[in-house]
Amino acid sequence: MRGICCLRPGVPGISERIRVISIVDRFLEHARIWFFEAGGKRDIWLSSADWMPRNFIRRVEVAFPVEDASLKDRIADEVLGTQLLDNVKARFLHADGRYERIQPGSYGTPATAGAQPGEAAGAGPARHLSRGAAAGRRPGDVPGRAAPGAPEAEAPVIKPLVALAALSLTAPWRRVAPGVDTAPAAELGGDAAWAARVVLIDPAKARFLVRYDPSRPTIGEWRRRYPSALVIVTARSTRGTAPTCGRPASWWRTASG
Amino acid sequence: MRPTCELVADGKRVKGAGCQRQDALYFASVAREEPAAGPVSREPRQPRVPRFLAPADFRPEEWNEAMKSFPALVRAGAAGCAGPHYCAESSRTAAVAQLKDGKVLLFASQWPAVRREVARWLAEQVGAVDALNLDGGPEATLALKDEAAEDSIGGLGVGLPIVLIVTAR
Repeated sequence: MRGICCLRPGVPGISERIRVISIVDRFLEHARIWFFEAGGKRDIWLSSADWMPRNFIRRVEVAFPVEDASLKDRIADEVLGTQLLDNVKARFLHADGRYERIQPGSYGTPATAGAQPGEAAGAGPARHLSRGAAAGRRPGDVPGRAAPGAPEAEAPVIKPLVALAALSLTAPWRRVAPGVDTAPAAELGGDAAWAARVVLIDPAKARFLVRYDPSRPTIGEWRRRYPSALVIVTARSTRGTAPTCGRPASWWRTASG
Repeated sequence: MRPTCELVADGKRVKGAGCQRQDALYFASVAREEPAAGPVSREPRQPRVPRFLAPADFRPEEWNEAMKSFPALVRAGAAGCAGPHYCAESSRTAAVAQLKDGKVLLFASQWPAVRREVARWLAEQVGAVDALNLDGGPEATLALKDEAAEDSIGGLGVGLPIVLIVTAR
């Protein structure tokens, strides 16, 4: 599911059989799968499970069962299994609310839920599952620290300080208008997985207008209203984020109204 | 429906309906015109160029265009957004930053980005002095002039009640 975790796992007598693993990777890894197993019977549900307060109040969340046995197996193995084996991006939630990053490379070959088949050696789901046993970690195992000498998949990388060189308006910049240039963020040291871009603006040659319309025009409508606009970027529009845990439903109804 | 945060658009102040976070900032972009010079000469004022202001330092009567948002991603050259939840969330992100030379940098991601990591990148690699998160999720949009709609960052059908528009002087 997508949401913050309000549950404290590992509390004796209450939640000692519950483990929580958080993964934030390149594909927004919340598969929104509910898996139940009891007495050898598996139930798998897929859901919207976008469990943010605004969605509970303003939207409709839906879940439905997967009944085909082969599809259940694929979802359990290829999606949940891959994510539970993640030892690159996964964080383990302790009973005191503290998250601990699983050391990259613990449990054998580094494997990340955000990898795609064939993308990196040993990182794709198919490869991942095929060597799951060899990796020494079973889905749901409590993680530990990497053994001394274990391979580091994601050793801290000190990226070059490209600021001055990158912003000197040589390549990779593309001119939009005098004083307005754009470049892919990845070319400036940003994470390529963001698929982001930047626009650099010289205030001596351009000016910034703030415009508000509660009817919520689309970007196409804004462009028609301001045909001379060189750049249009969204600004803060929605209600602020507040702590989710412990808020009564009535608070959210009031706050979201 | 009022916006989440306060803004000044074309000289008109629109009060927000929330946005009391301590890590909120104003991006004040166009100063109000100077009053006509009187008979008494005075020291020329420093031109008010775009800048980021803490809420306590912001005076709406001084600005023609300004907007408030949160969280601050970079402040005085140091990466911020160190808190849990929102700063650790991965979602499509838009931001505005300012460099040492006063130039303004807009950022938008097509795919999810963890705001804290964007903050660190802006501070440590881009050299931003200040940066402010604009909006995230499906609303994160950045479109350039003469660009095909499908090449823009963001959803084509998503409503955007507040936008920052860049025009030539």
